[in-house]
Amino acid sequence: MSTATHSQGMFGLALRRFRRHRLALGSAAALVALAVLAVAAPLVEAALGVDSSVVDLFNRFAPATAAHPLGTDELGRDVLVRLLYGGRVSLLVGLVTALVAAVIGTIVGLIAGFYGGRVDGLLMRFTDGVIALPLLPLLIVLAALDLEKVGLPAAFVQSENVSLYRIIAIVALVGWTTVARLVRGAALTLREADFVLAAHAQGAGALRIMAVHILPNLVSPIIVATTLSVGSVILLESVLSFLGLGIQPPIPSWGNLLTNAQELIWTAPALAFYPGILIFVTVIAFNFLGDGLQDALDPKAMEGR
Amino acid sequence: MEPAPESREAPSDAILEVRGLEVTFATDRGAVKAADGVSFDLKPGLTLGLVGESGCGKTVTALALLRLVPPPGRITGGRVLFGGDDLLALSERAMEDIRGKRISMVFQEPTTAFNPVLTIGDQIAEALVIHDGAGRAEAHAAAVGMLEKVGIPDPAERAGTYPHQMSGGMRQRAMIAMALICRPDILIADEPTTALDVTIQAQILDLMGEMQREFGVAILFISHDLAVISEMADEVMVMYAGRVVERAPADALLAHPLHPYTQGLIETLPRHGVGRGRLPAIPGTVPDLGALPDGCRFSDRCPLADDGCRAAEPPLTQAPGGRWVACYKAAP
Repeated sequence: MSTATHSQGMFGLALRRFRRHRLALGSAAALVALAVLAVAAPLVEAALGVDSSVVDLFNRFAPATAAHPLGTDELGRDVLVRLLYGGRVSLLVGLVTALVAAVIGTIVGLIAGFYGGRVDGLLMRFTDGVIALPLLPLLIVLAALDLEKVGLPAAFVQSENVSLYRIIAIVALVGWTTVARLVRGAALTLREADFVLAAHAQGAGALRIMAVHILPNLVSPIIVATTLSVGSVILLESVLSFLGLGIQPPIPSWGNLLTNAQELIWTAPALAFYPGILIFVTVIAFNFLGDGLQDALDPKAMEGR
Repeated sequence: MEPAPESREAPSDAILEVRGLEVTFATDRGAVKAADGVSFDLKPGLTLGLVGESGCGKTVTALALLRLVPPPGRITGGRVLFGGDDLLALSERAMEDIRGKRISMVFQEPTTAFNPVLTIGDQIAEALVIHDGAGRAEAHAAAVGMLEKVGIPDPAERAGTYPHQMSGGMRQRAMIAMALICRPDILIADEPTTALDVTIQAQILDLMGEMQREFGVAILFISHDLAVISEMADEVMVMYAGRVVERAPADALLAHPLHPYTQGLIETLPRHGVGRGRLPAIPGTVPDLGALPDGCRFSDRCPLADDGCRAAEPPLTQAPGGRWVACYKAAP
């Protein structure tokens, strides 16, 4: 059984294996540092004595100084602080979206795998359908949807953060398929396990068997898949924002910072370089972290290498 | 085990009556009956041994009592009478209330029958949580008490460990604790000692006998091993290719088997001080359920079979001494 792996003692083992994975450990440290800085953006702003929302046209494209460690942008705003605020948004979108997608995928996959047969067929054909949708055109259409006409309250639609919620919803709605397939495959195997039959024989109902007996056996693959998907969500968010369909200015995200920089690529290449490198580093760190977690939580996967 | 001869003969005190149970598997080559007209009674405080080769329908019969036959198998006939109800007619919801509470099961492989990511204590207490709505603390205390009863040292500490941290014998003890926590009326034990080594096996058999005396539970004890059955059972039922071929009080069956198949099984048992040559074996192999011989399904391996045997299937008929046998040639 591929699942007979963890428990408290096993988690200790997993931690030890993870610590040996230098790249993953470094990635985790980098991501934590980035997240802490992003969360502390207002403090950094106060410490530098700048206000990133104030336009200062007399101070455009300023070079790096003590007050502006990475200089200022085309409107005289501090680049470092803008990047940190952008990181807040990009990381938040990445994490929340990956989590929402994981929850949807887990529920769909569990039901399909546990019940099998017709239920499985129906849910998996639906999943195949979602996978087959041409992603970018769909996202563009969804992003262009007038939310007020869909029936959402005007106060919500006009709120500043609506583009944030919109992008989380859109990406999660198409992003759950990976986890759904993963969970479904594992649940199909697990439902044949002796301990599931034993749970039936104890009088456990379907819901209890799914939640108490099958789900805990799937925690590690779900964690790995979710971690890996954070990177791709951040990438997708930056693509959409770059196309002007994601996070709307003045809220900064790495994606729309990149869009802004596009026109200035010859005058101020650094403005494009910074968000670009942050997206690159974050995405690659999440991938390393996911790989490390995979090796730590599922040692069998590593044996084949 | 203490025999209880007085209650053996009385038919009315049965707690579970199985009549004509039939389980059919849909296969590529058509429907195959894994259990075909199986009938028996279980009585409080007594053990019915169910013996037969692999694939003869023992486990399917056991799972059918709980209505847990895995697809593509289906129960296609018969009645399972328990407490005035036919279990085969109950709703799935009502059946869930019976499983683990009134009828519970001990599985062959304690290694795979426990969930690897849940503690032993939580799994033992689960039936209490499901059926009695027990709170966490109450259920945990009951689990610890039960672990102590089945002879596990440091039960309080053991309840917090995971299955892989226990030995096979310990796990089987824990499984018995799990099966008995709701004080069921019936315990189904499907090859409970097959996966264990011989010394541990003896301990587990002792434990089951002890638990039976304490809780008065009726046991359906399934094994391919007549030696183990003879130690545990008050009455023995022999299955061959989905049918019951002989049923008799344990001592009588072992001392004087009527059916040629039972005779063959007993001859294959190794005995102390008797010869050192090859053990006898029953010629041939268990027939494919999809291609049974005509007439008696044992006829192609039976030394006594004649044309009459190959013409029609012998019914299970009563013989003297509270015995039943399905054979035209059965020695009277």
